[in-house]
Amino acid sequence: MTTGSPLLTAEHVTKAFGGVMAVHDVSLTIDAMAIHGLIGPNGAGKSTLISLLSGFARPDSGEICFDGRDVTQLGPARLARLGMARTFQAATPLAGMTVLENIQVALTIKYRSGLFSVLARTPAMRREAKALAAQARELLAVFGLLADADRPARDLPFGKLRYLEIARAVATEPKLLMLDEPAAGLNQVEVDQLAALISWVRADGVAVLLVDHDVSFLFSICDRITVLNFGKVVVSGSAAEVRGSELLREAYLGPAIPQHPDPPVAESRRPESRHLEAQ
Amino acid sequence: MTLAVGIAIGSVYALVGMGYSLVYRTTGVVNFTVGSYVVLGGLGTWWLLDQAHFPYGLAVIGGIILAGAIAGAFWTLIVIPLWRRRSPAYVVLLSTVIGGAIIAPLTELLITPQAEELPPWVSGFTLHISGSDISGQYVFVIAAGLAVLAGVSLFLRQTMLGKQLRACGASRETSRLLGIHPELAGGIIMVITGLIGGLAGALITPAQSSEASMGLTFGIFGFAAAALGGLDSVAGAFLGGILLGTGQAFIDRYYTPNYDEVIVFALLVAILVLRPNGLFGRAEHAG
Repeated sequence: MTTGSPLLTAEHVTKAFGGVMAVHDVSLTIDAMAIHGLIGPNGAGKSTLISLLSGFARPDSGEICFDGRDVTQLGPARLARLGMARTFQAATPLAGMTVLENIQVALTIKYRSGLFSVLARTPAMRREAKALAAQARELLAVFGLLADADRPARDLPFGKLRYLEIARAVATEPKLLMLDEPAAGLNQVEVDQLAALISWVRADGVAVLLVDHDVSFLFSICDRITVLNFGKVVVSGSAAEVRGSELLREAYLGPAIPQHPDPPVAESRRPESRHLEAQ
Repeated sequence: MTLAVGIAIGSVYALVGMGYSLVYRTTGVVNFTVGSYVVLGGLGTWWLLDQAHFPYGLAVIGGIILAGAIAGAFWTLIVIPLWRRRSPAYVVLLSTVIGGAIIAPLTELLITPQAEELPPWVSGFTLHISGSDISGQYVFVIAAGLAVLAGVSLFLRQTMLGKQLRACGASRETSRLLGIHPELAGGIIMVITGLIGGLAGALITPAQSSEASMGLTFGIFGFAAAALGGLDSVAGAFLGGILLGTGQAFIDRYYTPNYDEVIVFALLVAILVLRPNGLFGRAEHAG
């Protein structure tokens, strides 16, 4: 698959929670191997949209196609096996397991031979297990977590925990990786590292859907941007097109303040603002 | 002598306790049906041997499979629908208590209303310890306890399936992200738990007769064993069972057999006040 061909298409997707239109008639196309940004103020429906795309919630109406098949009614485990990975805003390390084991479990998704075959201790299985451990360590090295491999995952500091989440999602060998506010709460050095890691993931042939408040971070690495507000798509296009769009500014500041050069950035990156997100 | 009896009784609690621990570690569910599988294994074996005239070995295997099948059926018919409807944990727990309460009268109705005993696995195998006789059958019970402990620990730590199951226990949502179906994983672990319980039943029924109503007793003592050792630690549940049985045996011998359960449970509460996560449990568990 090459850049430009659509990997995921959502058409007229709608989801209401108790009368509130969290996502309203949203259509979206994510191209293979592209980095697609999704921005919008708190409560714009970004997280709900990711939940719909990743199977954690079912849309009330509309259709979602992924990699050439209708996946509207599929659950998250099936979608994960079809090549869709995501992270949550709050880190979800597997308690009681080490950093390395977190990655290893994610890598087992490729045991197509079935769950029980790994119980058989044939030499081939042992080789496979060895290869798996090596692969897990390789991935940890890329994400700067190799020294922490044998630590309990929940003991990691905040920033590293975020990297572990992403590494674990990458370990499922997705075609599409959806990151829900990966930069939230990170300092500038960590945000730069994160941008490099996301570019590395894309270079590996993975499309990325990136949700964040941090507009400058998104524009620095995204090929395409979709702006959501009040559950609707306000504008969607290439990063250059959207950057110049008056509609982006309006979504953040309202229509009345044209002289502000950039939407607010620093404020929206505070972690506590995550709790305001409508979910 | 008292110690030997205690360890023998305790190894039954240990087997049941490991069932609790296994299910809890991999699904987050506290499962009070475990005691029922002991009875099903024992009485199922008895029925196949005594009523259907199977050879003993085959009857034992049949009884164990029966317990595993009922465990799988309970999971599929009761727990999965509750999960699908996002029932809170206490409802799932209640369903396991009710499950145990339903399995007992069904066992009475369909298998036997009486206490039944199986022949010993090796006839005439008796241990003489300080002048008293202990059924040699308990040797098999203890050996099975150790074998199950070793097998289950290796399985959870070393195999990829074991790691996937632990991932489910840590977080159902996260395990879904990794392509694991927690419903299927829970079903696998429930069948394993049923098989372990069934094995325990087939093993102890030659030493002490089984009847349908005993499922509840096994269930409570097994849960106490697991809580004593630490519900999220399989080895802890095993040691908890041995400690519980030994404590009970010593109170029987040196104090009074009438109130042994009261005293054992009072001690259990005292220990849990001092160590809320059990003797060998970890400080936290994100279920």
